[in-house]
Amino acid sequence: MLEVREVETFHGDIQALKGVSVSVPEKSIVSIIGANGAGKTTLLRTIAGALAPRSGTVSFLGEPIAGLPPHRILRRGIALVPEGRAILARLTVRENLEMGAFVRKDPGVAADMERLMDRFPILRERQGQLGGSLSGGEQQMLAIARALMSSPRLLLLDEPTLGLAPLVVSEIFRTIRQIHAAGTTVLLVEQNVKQAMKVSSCTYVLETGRIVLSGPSAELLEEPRIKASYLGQG
Amino acid sequence: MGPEWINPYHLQVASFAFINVILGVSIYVTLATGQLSLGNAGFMGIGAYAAALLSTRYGCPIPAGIVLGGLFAGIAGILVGIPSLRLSGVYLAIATLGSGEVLRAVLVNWESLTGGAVGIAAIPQMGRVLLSRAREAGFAPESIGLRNNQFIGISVFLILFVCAFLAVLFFLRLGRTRVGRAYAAIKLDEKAAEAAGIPVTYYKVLAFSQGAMLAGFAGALYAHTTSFVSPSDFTYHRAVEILVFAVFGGSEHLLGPVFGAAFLTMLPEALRSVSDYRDILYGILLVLTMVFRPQGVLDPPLLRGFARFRRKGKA
Repeated sequence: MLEVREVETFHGDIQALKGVSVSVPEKSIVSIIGANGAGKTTLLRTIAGALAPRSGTVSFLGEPIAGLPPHRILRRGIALVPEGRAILARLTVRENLEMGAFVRKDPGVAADMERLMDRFPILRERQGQLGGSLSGGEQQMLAIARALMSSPRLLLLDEPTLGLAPLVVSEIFRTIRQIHAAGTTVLLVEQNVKQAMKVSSCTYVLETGRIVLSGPSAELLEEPRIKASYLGQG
Repeated sequence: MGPEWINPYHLQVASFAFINVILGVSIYVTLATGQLSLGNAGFMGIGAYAAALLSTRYGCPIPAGIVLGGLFAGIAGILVGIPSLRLSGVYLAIATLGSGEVLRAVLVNWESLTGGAVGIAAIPQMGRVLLSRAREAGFAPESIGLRNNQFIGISVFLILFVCAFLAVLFFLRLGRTRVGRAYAAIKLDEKAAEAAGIPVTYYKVLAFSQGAMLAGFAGALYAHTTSFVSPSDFTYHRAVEILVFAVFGGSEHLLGPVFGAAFLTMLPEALRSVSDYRDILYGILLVLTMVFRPQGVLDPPLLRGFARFRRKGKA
């Protein structure tokens, strides 16, 4: 569904991605793990169009999308939930959700909003409240729900559990499973390595701008290097 | 002759207040996307000079000249906006202030077109033109008990009132549309707005050129009100004056700069009796605002309070 080939992205003179290739099959969950500064966020932002790669290709459903502006890529069905609960703090919960449907012009928006509020009852309860008044976990739920309002085929999640309490983290992972079960493909960037690998079918390990390891998540969980560096075992 | 309470001087002050209200709206529109532009004095100059030249050199009718003045400034806004909007915050403020000064330098030095530092005089004044048209049509102001200068003052006042009112109304309503929502989202969080699929650059340039167009429109009205323009009307003093409308009145809601513009234009008149201390009082007022209302006099909670109070009064 999504094919990233030999992508190189720069921040000014600094090369953040040094030839990264990632493949996300339809209806899968793929996770990307790695330390701070490995290039995980850069990779997601490159896919979503917020950054343009200097070389390499990104194709989605067989069509090249690298270099397109973010709103075009969103319209093709890739939605990004940015790092750090990027919600619109001074708009209400309902307005935040409406903003998520900004690129849509079809009449199904109201029905989708109802469906999402069924899935996230807390958002229905708080729909008139300002986004900034929600708790951290609720804000993350809102950010995910807002991305879903564009009815994406591929959802990019950038560290959705960052800074959240363990109970809330499990809730987020439950939500990711539900979204996947409902038919949306998910590309997940996480530092919560163990849970990310458990939820995904396939994992890529990113280190200083390069993929150093990849494969089925179940196999990588047994891989000694992963155990030592990321799971604190052995 | 004529009712004495209609004072042409007071009408003129009120007319300038309406022009300043339009300038207040012009800075608000760019602020609504979180961009501080200090170039509006320059764009006002473009509108003023365009309207002045079109009417004095090419005999263009005043209303058409005013519309074209706004459009020229809007186009200049797009040209300045596209490169400048790569910047933000103080960098954008300095870049736009600079582009305003560049414009002023062009006005001073392109003497063959602009008359240089002397400026352009004898621009048709809209009130006078209206009076002569009225006389041609056989209407004499005396018949309704007005002196000539009272008629001129009132007609300019009414024209500018309608222009300012329409500008405020248009942008109040814009706030509730898709475009207004996009502006609000960009102001709150550009990355979140981008992730929601809003073409951020497009809307920033749109807001910037809307602000420029409004400033140009105000400038064109100014030219046909004072009938004289010179580069010194559009220096950075004017840019700061426009900024103060928003700082004093409040920049969180459109009515903030509108109130600031109207109030601060009238204030010097109210302080005439203590004219020696006028600047001191003006300064003290600004300092007090910064201390007690750093967000400006009008902000959304206060406006919501007014709305509640009015509803209660009706019930």
